[in-house]
Amino acid sequence: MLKFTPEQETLFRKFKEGDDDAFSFFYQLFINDLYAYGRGLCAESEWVKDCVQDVFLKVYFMEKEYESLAHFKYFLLKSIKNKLYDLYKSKSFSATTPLVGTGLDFMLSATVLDEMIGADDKQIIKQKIDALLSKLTARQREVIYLRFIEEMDYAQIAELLGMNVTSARKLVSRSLKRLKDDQLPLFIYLFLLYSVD
Amino acid sequence: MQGSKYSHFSAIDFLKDEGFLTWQMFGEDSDGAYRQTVVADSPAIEPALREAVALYKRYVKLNDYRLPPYEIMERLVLLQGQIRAEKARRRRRRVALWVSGAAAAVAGLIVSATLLLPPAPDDNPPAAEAPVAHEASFPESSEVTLIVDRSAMVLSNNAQVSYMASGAIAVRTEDAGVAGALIREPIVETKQNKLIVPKGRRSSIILADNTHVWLNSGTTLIFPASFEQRREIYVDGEIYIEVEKDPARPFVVKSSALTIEVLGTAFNVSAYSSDIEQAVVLVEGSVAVAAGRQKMRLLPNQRFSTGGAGGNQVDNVDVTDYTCWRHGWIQTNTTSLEELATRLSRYYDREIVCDARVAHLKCFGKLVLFDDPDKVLHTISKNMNIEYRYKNTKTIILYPKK
Repeated sequence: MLKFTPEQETLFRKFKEGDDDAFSFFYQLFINDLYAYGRGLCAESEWVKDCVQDVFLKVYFMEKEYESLAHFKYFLLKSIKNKLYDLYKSKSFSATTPLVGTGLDFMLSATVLDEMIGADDKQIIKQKIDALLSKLTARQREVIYLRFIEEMDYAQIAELLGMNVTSARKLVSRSLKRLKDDQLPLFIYLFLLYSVD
Repeated sequence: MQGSKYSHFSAIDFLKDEGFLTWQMFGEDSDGAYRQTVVADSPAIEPALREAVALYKRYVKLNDYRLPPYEIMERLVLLQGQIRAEKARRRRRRVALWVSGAAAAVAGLIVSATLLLPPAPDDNPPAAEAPVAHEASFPESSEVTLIVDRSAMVLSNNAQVSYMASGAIAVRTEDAGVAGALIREPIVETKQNKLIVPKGRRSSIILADNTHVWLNSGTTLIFPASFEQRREIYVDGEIYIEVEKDPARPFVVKSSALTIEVLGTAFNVSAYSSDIEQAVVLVEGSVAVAAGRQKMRLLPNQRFSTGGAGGNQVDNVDVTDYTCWRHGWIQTNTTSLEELATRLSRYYDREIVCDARVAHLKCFGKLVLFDDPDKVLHTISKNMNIEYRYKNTKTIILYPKK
C-alpha cells in the first residue's frame, strides 16, 4: 500500500500550514504522478503539462483540508482528471479537433528499462504486455493503473471513476479473469503438445 | 518432468509469459495461482521465477511518463512566479477615488488650467506637504509632466510611470513599451513629486509601495518618491486607485475637501478643486471619508459626495459608471447631458457647452471615448436627437434639432 516516510509526513503538516518550501517539495514529489496519469488520459503532452501547472496553482491558494498524504495525492489525481476533462470538452467543440471516441480513454503501455535485457527480449516483453492490456477496456486499464501503479485504495478509485467500491473491486477481478481465461486454452494446448512428446 | 512447460524457463522467459505478466500486473490482488502452478510443475525453477519477479518490479514500467529533472525545476520556478503574481493581484485592493465636479458644470466650463492647491485641511498633520509646493516655477505644459525635485519631464500621453522601491523611476510609453523607458537614478530624499496630466491627456503611475493610480484628464497628483511611516498622496482631479494592502501603514488620499483613509481596499475619487462637488466611489473594501467635520465609512458601491444641494450625501451607485473612464469609455445611467458635457470637456480639452433647452436631458448607455472628439459628439447627437456645432476651435455647443 501507499507509504510515506516520517520526513514526508512532517513536511505534509508544514504544507498544510502554508509553508512554501513544503509546497515545493510536494510539487516535485507528485508532479510525475500527475503527469503520468494525465498522459494515460491524454496523449497531448503539452496539454497535460499545462493542466498539471494549473492544478498546483489552484492547490496553493486553496484551503488545505486533506486528511492524509494519500488523500492529498488522490485529490491531485482527481483534479488533473477533471482539468483534462474540461479541456477535452472545450477542445472537442472546436472545429479543428475531431471528436474521437468518448474522450479520455485511458491508455496503458509498457516500458522495459533494463540494459541487461537484450533489445529483442525487451521488444517481445513490451509487445506481450501491451497485447494483454489491449484486451482490457479503458476503464479496466485505468483501474489497474490506479490500483497497482498509483497504489490507491478501492474507495478512492471508486470515487475517481464515479462508481461504488464493490464495482471497482469487480472491475479488477473481472479484468483479471478476462486475461486468465484468454490464456487457458493456450495452456491446455501447450500441455497436450508436450504430452505427445 | 519432461512434459513441464516451465522446467527450462529462464527469468527472461518468465517475463515473456502471459500468465506471469498477468500475475505481476495484478500484484497482491492476484490469487497467486500462477506461482503455485509453476512451483508444483518444477520446484527447481523457483530461483528463476524469483529473479523474474525482481526484474519485473524494477524494470518493467507501465505508463512510464516522467519529466526530466531540469524541466521540473523550470516548471517549479515558473509556478512560483505565477503564485507571486496572483498574490500581488489579491493583495492589491482596488480603491477608486473619483473626485468630480458636476456642479461646476454650468459656471466652470472654463476651468483655469493653473491648479492652485489649497493647504491641507483642518488639524490633521499636513503629511502631504505637497500642496505647499507650487508649480509656478514651471510653465504650464499641455503634455503630461512629471516633476521630480526641481526638474520637469514631459511624457507622452498614456505614459505609465513606475516608482521602484529603490527610488528609481521608469516611464513606459503606450506604443514604445520598454524601448521608451527612461530610468532615473534612485533619489535619496523623499521630496514630493508631482504628476500633472493636462486636459485631453491621461496617465497612470505605480507608486513606490506598488499602489497603482490612474489619472484622468486635468488631474494633478502629488506623492512622495517613497513612503516612510505614512502613505499619503494629494489629488486635484480624478483618479482611480488600487491600493497595495499594508495594515501597518494606512493609505490616505487627500483633496481640497476630502480626506480618504483606506482601510484595506479598491476605489475611485473625483475631486477637482475647481468643482463644487467632490466625490468618492468605493469599488471594493472599505474607506473612511472625512469632509469638513463629517467623517464616515463607505461600503462598496457607495458614492459619497460633497457640495450637493443637501450637503454631503451618500448614494448607492453602479461603480462602473464612475470607473470606466480608465478603460477609454464612459457609462452613463442618469447623468444629465450637462454633466456628460463637463466630463467630455475635460477629457478632450474642449469647451463643450449645452444650450439650456438640452442641458437637462438624461443620458443612458455606454460611450466609447474615441481619440477624435467629433466621433463621440456625432454618436451623442444621433442618439439624443440633438445637434452640435463648433463656435470656434475650442468651443462646441450642443443644441436642440431644428
